[in-house]
Amino acid sequence: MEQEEKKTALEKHAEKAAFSGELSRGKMHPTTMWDLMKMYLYRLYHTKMVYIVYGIVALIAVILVLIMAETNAQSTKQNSGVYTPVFSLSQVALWCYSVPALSITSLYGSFMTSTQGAVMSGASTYVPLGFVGLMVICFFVGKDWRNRTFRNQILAGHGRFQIYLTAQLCGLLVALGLVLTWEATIWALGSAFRIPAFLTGQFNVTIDGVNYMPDPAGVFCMSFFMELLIYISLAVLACAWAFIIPNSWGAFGLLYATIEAASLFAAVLYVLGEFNGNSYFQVQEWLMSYQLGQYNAFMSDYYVNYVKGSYGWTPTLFEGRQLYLGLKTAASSLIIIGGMGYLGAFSFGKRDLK
Amino acid sequence: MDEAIQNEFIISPGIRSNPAEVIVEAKHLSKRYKGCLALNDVSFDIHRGDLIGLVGKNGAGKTTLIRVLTGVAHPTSGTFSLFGASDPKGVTKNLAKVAAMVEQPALYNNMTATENLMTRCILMGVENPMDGYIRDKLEFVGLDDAYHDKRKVKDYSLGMRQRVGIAMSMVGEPQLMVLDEPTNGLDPEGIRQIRELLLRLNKEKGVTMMISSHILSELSKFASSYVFIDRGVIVQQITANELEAKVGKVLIIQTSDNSAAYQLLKTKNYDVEFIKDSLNVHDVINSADVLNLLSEAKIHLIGMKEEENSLEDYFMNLVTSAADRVFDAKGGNI
Repeated sequence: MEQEEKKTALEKHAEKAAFSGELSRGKMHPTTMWDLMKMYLYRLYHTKMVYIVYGIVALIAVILVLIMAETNAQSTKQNSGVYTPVFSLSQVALWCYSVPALSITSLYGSFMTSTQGAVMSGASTYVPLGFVGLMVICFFVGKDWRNRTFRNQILAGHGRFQIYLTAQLCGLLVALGLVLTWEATIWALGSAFRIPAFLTGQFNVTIDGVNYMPDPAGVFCMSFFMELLIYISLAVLACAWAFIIPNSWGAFGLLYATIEAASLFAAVLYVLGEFNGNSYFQVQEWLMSYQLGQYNAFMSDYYVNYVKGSYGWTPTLFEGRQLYLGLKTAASSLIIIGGMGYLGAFSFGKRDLK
Repeated sequence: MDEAIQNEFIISPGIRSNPAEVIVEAKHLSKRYKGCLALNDVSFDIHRGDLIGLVGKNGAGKTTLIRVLTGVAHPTSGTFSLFGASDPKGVTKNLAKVAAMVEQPALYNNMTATENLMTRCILMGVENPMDGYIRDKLEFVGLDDAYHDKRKVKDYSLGMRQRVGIAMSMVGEPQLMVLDEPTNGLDPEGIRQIRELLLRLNKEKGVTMMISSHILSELSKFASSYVFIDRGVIVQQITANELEAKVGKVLIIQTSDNSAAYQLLKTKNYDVEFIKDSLNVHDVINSADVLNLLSEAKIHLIGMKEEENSLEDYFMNLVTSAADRVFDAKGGNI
């Protein structure tokens, strides 16, 4: 208020003139965070890499559905009575955004038998797609470091936290856009080719002498949204690293290292705990890749674990774990979003820019 | 609108308001990088309408000072106010009135010149920038053809990139432009064009400017005042007129008692300064007058010579004597 009074009449005129366009041909309005967001969207629109990655994701989705449709047609023609491939659209949609989790997923997969083992191996084919999306975020933010263009944003009166938040939102938009592209292509093309979306009775699993035929679509919703949440947290993680490390490849490397470290840590804990997952308070269950492994077992609200007994390792079925796993997944994702989100903002706020 | 104000505005576009108005006030700014004090207790003012030349050798602290003033780097200690605001929120907001080009223009290399300006227009809240606004800016910097040019700026020459950078700086009608070595890497023709461009901005649009350079002869062609910086310390802030008086013919004398001679000449209103173990007397019309004064005061003359003092000589002398003072303060010998 005091500052307002201190302004001379001439200054007020100059300000008014500047904002009304008297000094130039363009009119100006006081800037807001929305202007910053619009600039980021404009940049996205002009970033070739985004189009390439979106194109690759859509292309792989198309190829996948075409293969499924062809296999389905062959199966019907031969009247084999068995629908192949064994996975439905819902499962394809579910797996696509798994993250690289070398240790625990492969460890768990190796314990699985027959069909499930094959499905687990197949799932790993789609693993990198989501990761490529995270790479786009690292490189998109990295461009501002390389071109030193953060200073343009600062010199437009935008605070550092505003810039960071806008970049995070933009990163989420890229990540969710990729998921949407994949899902839309899978479901639209799959429906056009009349590939059944939800299949039942594909798996025939015998555990403890009991035969189970869980419905793979039964876990779709829960698993999908959990994976989506994890993916969102990884997008936040990618963007945070990109703001902490002023180098695209460095940020990308650290992102991968973080995921691998978590995965490795989970594997070590899992082995140290003698593969005992039958506890609601298992530390390793907080780590994402472990949980993804569990969900990918398609056991509905059942949880298979190998327990060491007098006859060696035998598969054992535990029930009613899904809610707890879901809560733990949500909690660990939110911890990543909050923790790394804060760390990225703190680092960017304190550091000197190029 | 107040007519008097309007008239003043139109008649004197180069000076939008009271020329004495301080728009940047730096107080005891220091910046330390790992084990290195890049800025050491720097204080100075920038007045509206000024065209300041920031002069210093490579590594003197020019870029660091600019980086601190433009919010790119945080000062280790000290404060500065920008257009009257010294609180972080106010400074952040007022940075919108500042345009800067530090070391090299900050451009998105994968975009065209027009697209780069578009990003700046969006950031600054310019409405309908494609409606002549961007074209105006490009024309102002002599890049008339760049508006429709499909080439990315990464394919531009250094001079063209500098121009695009200046055009971007002009978006939003900044009141203060801070440019770090704007003519760096340009050919003589490019340097001349950029110099004329900056002068036009100052005179026609009333933009206050701070331009850093280590090419003094270049700065002397348009700066209205100078800030000399060395080893992170501002060794002198001086107007162009004052500096003009100091360069040219200089009388260098060594006496039996330099301190007494200094005091004596000062009392007689001579522009005199200590340079190492001698005294430099500027603006001397008749050197015999100086000798008579010393003789009357029984101060023996050991040596005397007359020299033409160029801007570079003046700066080097200034920097050397400042360094000696630092050395002396640390207990060394002069």
